[in-house]
Amino acid sequence: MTSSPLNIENLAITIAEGDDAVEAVKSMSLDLAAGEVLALVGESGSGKTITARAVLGLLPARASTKGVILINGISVLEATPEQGRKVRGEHAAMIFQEPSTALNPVFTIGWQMSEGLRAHGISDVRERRRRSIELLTAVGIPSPETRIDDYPHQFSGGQKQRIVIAMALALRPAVIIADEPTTALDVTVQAEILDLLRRCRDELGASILLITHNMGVVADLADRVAVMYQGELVEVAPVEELFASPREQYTQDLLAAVPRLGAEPREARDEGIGDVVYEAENLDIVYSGGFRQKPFHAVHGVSFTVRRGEVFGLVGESGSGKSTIGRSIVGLAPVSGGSAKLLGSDLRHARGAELRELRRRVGFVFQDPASSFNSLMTVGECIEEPMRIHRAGSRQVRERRVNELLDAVQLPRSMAFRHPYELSGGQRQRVGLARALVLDPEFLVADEPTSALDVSVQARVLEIFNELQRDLGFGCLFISHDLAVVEMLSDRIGVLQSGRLVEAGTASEVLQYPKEAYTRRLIAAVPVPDPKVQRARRPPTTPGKQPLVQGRLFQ
Amino acid sequence: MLDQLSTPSTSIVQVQNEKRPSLFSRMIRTPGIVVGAIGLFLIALLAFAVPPLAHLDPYAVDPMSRLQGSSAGHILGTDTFGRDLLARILSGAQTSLVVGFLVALVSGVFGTVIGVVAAFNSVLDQILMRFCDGLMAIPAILLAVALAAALGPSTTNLIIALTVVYTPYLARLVRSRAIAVKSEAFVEASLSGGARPWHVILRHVLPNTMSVIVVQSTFTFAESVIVEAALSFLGAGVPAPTASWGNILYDGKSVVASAPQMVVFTSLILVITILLLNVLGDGLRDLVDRRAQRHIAHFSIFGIGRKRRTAKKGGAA
Repeated sequence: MTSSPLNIENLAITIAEGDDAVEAVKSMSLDLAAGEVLALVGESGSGKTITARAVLGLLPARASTKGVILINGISVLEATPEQGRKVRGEHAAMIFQEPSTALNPVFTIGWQMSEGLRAHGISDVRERRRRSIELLTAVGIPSPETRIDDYPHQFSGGQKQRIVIAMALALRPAVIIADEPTTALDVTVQAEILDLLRRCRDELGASILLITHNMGVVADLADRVAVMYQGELVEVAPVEELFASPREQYTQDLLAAVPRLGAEPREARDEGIGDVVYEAENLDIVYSGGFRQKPFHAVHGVSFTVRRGEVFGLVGESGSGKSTIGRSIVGLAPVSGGSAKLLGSDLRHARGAELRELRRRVGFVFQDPASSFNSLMTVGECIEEPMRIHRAGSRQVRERRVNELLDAVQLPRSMAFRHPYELSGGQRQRVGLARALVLDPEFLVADEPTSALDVSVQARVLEIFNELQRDLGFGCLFISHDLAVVEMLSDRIGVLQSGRLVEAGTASEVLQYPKEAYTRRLIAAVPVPDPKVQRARRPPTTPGKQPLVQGRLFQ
Repeated sequence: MLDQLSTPSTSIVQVQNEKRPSLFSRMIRTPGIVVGAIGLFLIALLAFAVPPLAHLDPYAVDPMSRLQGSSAGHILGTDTFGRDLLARILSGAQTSLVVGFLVALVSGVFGTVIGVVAAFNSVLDQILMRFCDGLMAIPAILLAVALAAALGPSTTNLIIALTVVYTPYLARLVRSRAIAVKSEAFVEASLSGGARPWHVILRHVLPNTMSVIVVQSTFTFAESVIVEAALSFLGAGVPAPTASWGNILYDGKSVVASAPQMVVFTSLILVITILLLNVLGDGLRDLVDRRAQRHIAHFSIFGIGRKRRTAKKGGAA
């Protein structure tokens, strides 16, 4: 037996799916050394999360396992429920993807933190509280003595993730499993959380199994990388080696598909750019509050224009109002002040037939391809729906148009008779694009169209999008939080912060020579998918930071 | 390079591409639906086909042979007026099934209309829902008695009374489901394309609400059969001499010691009918709510769930 805190040997996991069984993980062996950060990467469905769950013994009842998982020498798969509970928390702990659902909204965070401590035999209430406060201090929650009695909704997303990390650290486990710990967070917050995780490793000597699909995060944090593909371990290599010279074809493809900031900016062009299709001037958007609730001012005095044939990228962190602007164009959010001119008509005053005519000439691509289709309709019916709404064309015309669009987004025509839930995420988003384009719009709003997709799938969808945009020449408002994606597609970029447009200009102006501090901060926070570059970029440990280990903590 | 990348994504798709079985084949694999539907069909067949074929007359009075046990002439014996009990029970089944079915249908239609209107118009929502609240605040049977008394005794009025009682429950359910569907991204997609409310209702809201309506209506059917029997038992339901399970039970109550067949056989068929309706409703709910089914199958201990699934298949075959 080796001394490494986590050994996985010949692990195979089978999940019963109705009468069939899916082999989620096929014979995988992996060691995690003490004080090491091992990144487990792969597309969704590659088996990385199920592996992590197996490590903690948290598999669903329909899963059956073969092989051995040892945490500090304890075999997890053969453990009794009693031993399993001891392993979880004392020897290994998990950090979840979505901090807002990992915390119970009806209890204070102090209660939730002491719950774990009590389960592991610390019976003194004051002792539990003291430890909880120390942990909160360690992970950087300001004034923890008072905030310990707050409820989860009173913290921001990044703070909630810090609290989840504090809970994971509570019993100082040897192994921390972080399942997409920063996927739900903004880039600037992501940088802070990655820093915190690195300190957990450096100062506490914890081993971290990091599950992620973000190559930038891998480059930033990992020492070694294990690549999974369809339940198999394709390649394991130190991070520098993997990024410099990936051995396997699949790893090469995966790395090539990662969009890199500054790698391939869209060349500036003038031809094909026509008149203004959308013009916002001092645009204000206010969501009216309900009974005795204050109205919410989402967008303040934003001005920009989008011309025909041009892609305007709108970036910003969550809550910056970027989606709200997109939604206001198609009438899903109110225009409360200033003016918004769409195809020559003022959105504030357009009514009835005029408004419907405007909708016909505008397309919208939604973020989540899983929920934006009615699952009772076939793909063909979903694509032709806008035509039915506007009573455009007979049945034969519609059918022909659906086929044309399926060709355009490079899906087989037979897909028209399938249901959306039978398709993969990437295919569904192509259907979403087809639906938005069915009426040949002059203006398209794309709201984070690829943020729910894997990188390799994202690359394909973006490529199709780019081709179609060039061929059809519609103007486009492309909303995204991913600067690299926006750079790839956009002619011009606008940066939003808390509902205000802080900077706008051509893609190269904004991303290469940013004028505003906020833009610079945003760009700096994006981890570069190259470990060497990322290491050099990383700021030296900020002085004055609280050390993680202090006083009597972790005795 | 990108072409190579599309290889993995298609292979993932193939897992999901397996054709989902059709609605019919899923229905015949749900034992509740098969048992409930066949059972109810048999009861309906007995009720509507047997009396004319066997020349059973539920109104033929024969005072000389009151309260007789079963014999060649009267298979289940006779009642307090010497009428053939089998004929009475089957005729009562006609009444119960017709009343239950019509109440389920009419309250289903009205409940859907009210629910959808409430979901789409906030002013009407307040008015309609407060009205429903008011009706729901009164115990079902009390309201039915009051309405039946006010409208006067007849089968039609009984149907009207029961419809008034059950419509609010369905309206509430449809409203909450419709509001949930209304906030789905696919409805936003439709609205952003310029869809009128009418289009959203017909293409998105109603199809996605239909499952809830069908399931709830089945349970309404079962409940109105019970309440109809209860009302007739109390004398506020189907007026004599029309046969109804409720008034057969009422007649049988006073002679339960000397002629128990009246109460026993009528109760038996009443219980069986309600059971079949509930089994059918549960089956439909299983069919509609795939998630519930999956949970039953998966959160099993020692593989009992999997055995159950195979057992289900055996039951369906």
